[in-house]
Amino acid sequence: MIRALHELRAAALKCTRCGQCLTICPVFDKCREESSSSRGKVFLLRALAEGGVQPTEHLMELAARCTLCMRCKAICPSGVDTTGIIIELRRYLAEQGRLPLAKQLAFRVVTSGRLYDAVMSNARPLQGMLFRRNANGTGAVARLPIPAAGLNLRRVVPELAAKALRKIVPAVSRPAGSTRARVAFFPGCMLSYVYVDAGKALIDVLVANGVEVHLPEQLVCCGTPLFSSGDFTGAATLAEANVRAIARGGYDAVVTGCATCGSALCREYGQVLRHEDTVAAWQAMKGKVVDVSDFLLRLGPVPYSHNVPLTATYHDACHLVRGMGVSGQPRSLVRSVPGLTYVEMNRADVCCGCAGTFSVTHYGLSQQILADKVDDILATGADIVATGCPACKMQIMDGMARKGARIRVLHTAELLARAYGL
Amino acid sequence: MCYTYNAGGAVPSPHVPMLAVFPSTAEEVSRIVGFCNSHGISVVPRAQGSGLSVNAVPESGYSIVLSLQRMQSIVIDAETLTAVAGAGAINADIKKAAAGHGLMYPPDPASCAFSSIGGNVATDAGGLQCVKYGTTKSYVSGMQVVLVNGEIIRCGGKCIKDVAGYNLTQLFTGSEGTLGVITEVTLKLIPCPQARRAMRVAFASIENAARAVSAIMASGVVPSIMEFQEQTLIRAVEAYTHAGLPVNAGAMLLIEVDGDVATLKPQTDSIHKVCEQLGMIDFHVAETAQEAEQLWVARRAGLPALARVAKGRMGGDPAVPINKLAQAVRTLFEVGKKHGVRVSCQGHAGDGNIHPHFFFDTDEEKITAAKARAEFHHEIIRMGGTVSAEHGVGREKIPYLTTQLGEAQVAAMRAIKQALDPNNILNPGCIFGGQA
Repeated sequence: MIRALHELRAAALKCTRCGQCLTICPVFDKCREESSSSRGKVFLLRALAEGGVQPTEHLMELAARCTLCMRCKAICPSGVDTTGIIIELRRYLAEQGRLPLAKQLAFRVVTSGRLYDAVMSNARPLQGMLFRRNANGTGAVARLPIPAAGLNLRRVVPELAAKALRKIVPAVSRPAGSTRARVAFFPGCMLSYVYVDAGKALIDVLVANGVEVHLPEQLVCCGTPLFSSGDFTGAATLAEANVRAIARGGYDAVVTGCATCGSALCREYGQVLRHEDTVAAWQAMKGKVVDVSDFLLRLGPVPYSHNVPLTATYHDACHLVRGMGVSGQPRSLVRSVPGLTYVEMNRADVCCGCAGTFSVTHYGLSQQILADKVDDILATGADIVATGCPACKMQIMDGMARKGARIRVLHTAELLARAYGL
Repeated sequence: MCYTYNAGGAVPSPHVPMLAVFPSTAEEVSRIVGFCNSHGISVVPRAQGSGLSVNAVPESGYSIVLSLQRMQSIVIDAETLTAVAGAGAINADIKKAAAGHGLMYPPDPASCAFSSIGGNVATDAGGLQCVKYGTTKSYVSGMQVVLVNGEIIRCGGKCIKDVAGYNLTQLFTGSEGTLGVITEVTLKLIPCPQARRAMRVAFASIENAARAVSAIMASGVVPSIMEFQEQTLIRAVEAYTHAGLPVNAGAMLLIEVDGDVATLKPQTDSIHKVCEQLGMIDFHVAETAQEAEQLWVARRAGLPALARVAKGRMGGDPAVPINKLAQAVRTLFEVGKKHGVRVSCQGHAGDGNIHPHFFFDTDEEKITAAKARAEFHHEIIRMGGTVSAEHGVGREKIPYLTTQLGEAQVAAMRAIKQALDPNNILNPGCIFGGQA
């Protein structure tokens, strides 16, 4: 069910085109074309509704030039939901059949659930055929350039884990002593299939804090790649599966370790869910969705046991700082690690340029945005950069590898695991 | 399509330019402008598109938008207290670069975080601190301009005194892209004041607040900022920010004084004394930087708060001599009442510049609001005021130009336009309307 164009136009009319969104947009900063700014895209939606432009592939391409980092939405003096309007524009164009074929195929696999799980759990050997490990062992680079997939010979992509998270941790991890809380952990694709060590570290940290951690059966992709590309139908299928899988457990909290998944679970699902039963279940559940750092701080973390005599900085994932309103909590946890020196980087809350499929479809642009982030991180002289989003981790690792920098990119939970000697 | 608009409430132009070009050097600008001039193609110079008077939009399809956004260099010369900046440099970036040398570039239009210096100069942008420091024109000492035939000239420079020939620098300042393309500007900088102090004064009536403004200025204290908000706006902002504003006040003033630390208290005391005599109902001085920031939040929240008052709003930027401020505000409310239009206002009271707001929800109300606004502008002219203090004429205030300036003066201006742009290709339609 599409929100009628005229309704979207009404939302777009609130934009006074003041230009406040220009200087804070990471994409506009690189493109410098009005159509790549937020007010430009909001205007294009208005023009589409008024018949000034047609729903062409070119318009889809313009709409796609956004990392959905939400900085424009946060700064807009007129309160325009710029990010929401851009997603709705993509949705309208997707429903007009303007979704690129590669995405349509990929999303079909993702929504298949079991097939996707089978592919992601067993594709490591196939990845070995197409990719080779890069020189410093932080990931893999393509053996042949695959332009359609946004892969050139320099891009460092993470290696799929040999074993999926579910294969290396039990369905329920119980603390040794008394149980302070009983939670579901929603790992998402990245912590399930790619950075399984980070996923495991997160569970270990929770268990060390007296938390019983459940990995519910039948969890699927959170749906953000589909939702943010405008495929609401596919996203709804996934959202409904996840809500049903979590709702039946009656957990104290739903802990996330991926900013994007967390933001989807507590916010965006409101826009995609269709069935009444899942809407009701989600209403009851959404308040329990919490990022791991926020959860630990509210629970009251047990004291750390190990020194980490290193310098660390922290990168704000867009979906964490603006999506879930989490920024002080991870810093507070990291700062209190014994022996650790914390340095704040400049522009910590600016997007790293990954934005999921954006880093594939707009690799060059994504890399230009990343270059600034890499410079800001390196300027701190830190040994470790922590972040609460595995997609940011992947992106920043790519940037560091290409720069030949030896800085380690860790999920916040991985850093905490060290402080607990796990 | 995205180059058919600027900031502001007016309808975007229906004319989509043929091209938007992004030159990086004055030489490139020269080639582009020269080519367009010989082919009769209109050129609309533009950077951030944050103008509020429909300043930089194409008026025909046979036009190009010339974006200066790529010309962003900033060089501070601490020895001569000047900055040389590309037209596309952002005002806030210049301020930041100057601050690195202990210097200040004072003009601070509300858009300074994102507006370009080229646009600031082309519209002689104002701002909050004009009451003490003056508008953009007071800081432009030189510029590089591409003339319509492609010639590149430099007028003015870093000399403090310079009367060699006509003052073309000031002619191009505020010319809204109609006489030439400004590609680089030389700006005067001043030493940063040592300290500043902000305060909020509430009055029972608008009249008293307006009288206080004139009285403060006459008392010998020159505040760096003296902003004014009336009750409708105070209430809208309070509903939006919950900042603890005096909602029962008829109007309030937000004042800042700056200078050496030792001078702040005597300045504050003088203001307090004047306001006390004029029946203030509350006087609040920000003790910390954080408290001062809270005061300015109320100022910045004006626009978003107003967006919640009604579906639509028309603004403006008239100014009157500061002793007519009370009369201007009174007139605004009388005009609003007469037409049945909800009105409000705020302003840079210290320099007599007010921003009236005319609200509307429906298309019919919009027509009435436009009528009320027109009447108000004519009243402003009658008071010896100006219809545009800081946004420029653009395409929005063309109807008032002859009324305010007289036919002879407009004819003189047209003659200048004709001399510098005989084919009328530079931002045609701006300032003079259809036929220049």
